[in-house]
Amino acid sequence: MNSRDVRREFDRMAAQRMRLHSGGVPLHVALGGRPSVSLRFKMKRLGFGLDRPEVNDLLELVDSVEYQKSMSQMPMSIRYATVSRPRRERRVWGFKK
Amino acid sequence: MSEADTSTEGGSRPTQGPASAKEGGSVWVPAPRLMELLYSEGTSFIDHTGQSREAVGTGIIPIVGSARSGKTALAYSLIEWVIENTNRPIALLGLPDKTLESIPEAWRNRVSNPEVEKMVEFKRPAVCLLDDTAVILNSRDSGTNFAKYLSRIAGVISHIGGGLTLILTTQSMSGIDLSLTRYTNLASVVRMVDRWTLRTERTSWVDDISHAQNELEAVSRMKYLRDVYFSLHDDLICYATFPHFYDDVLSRPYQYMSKEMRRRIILRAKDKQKKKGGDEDE
Repeated sequence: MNSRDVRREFDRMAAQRMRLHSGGVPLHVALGGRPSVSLRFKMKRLGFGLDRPEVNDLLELVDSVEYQKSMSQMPMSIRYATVSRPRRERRVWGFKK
Repeated sequence: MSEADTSTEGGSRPTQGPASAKEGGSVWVPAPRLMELLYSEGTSFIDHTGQSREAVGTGIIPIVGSARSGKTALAYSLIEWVIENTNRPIALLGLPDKTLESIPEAWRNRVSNPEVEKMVEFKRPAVCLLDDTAVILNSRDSGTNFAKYLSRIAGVISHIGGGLTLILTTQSMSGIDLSLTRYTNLASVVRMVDRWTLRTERTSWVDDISHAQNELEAVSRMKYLRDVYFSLHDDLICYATFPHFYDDVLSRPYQYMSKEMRRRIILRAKDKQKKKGGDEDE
């Protein structure tokens, strides 16, 4: 699948999500690829609530795999920037006991 | 910016407004680089990293900020700190006599307001304040006798009176003659600067001042960011205080000058008359 096809597929996913957003997948969920969406729909069709812990674990696993897959195609700078790390504390100087 | 994102050195953070110099048992101290220039030469102190530093006791402290950002208030906070922590005399260069009436009475034997030209005659390592420098030290006027005099002084500032420290307040570094910042120790301080004025700021200062604005905006809780200032040489955000004696005379000294003095400094009547031999300023 070339990059144009990938973009089309993501556009289609986005369109689906827009159409289904009331009762569909929450819009703020960041998805790495198609399986993340498919699995959510599959779970809904099977009657499993997305907030159940076992479903949540499964979704997290698939999301994580898709996320890693997506990141592996990104440049090093983007991969570096997305790694969460503790934020530097801002030191403010001015008073002494 | 949440409370958890900032840490305060050795004291609690003021809840609102610039704190006074003594806040809940804590004492206000200037940025480490400022202390290097304001303490008497050879004095040791501990900086923000816990390292010991030794003061050089001479140099120039430019305080940059837009109008009403608290440049002069910070300058007087530094002067108050110098009075309480050193035995250096204070010279409020070229300011009207009325300013001496506004400072605390206990300091009056340490503070004077000589003409700028008298600086070369100082016998002791004074801390001098040159307020709103751009008015009297504009780079466009670098050819005037007065600007020439000051740029020469900058080169030998460490020799006069055993080493002077000059505090300059200015709205833009582009208004200051480069020679003043070229020859000696600098401890540059940034307060709130209107970002539109950065378009005309001296190129070499734009990045630093812009960085300082980002840092100050992240922690300040006051309009015009008056509770904090940024020390460029320490790369450090610092709390500002508001001197208890600070009033309108100290804040706007040019308003209280005699008409002749104001004309001489702002309109440069004397210089122009000499140059053109006429009465263009009338």
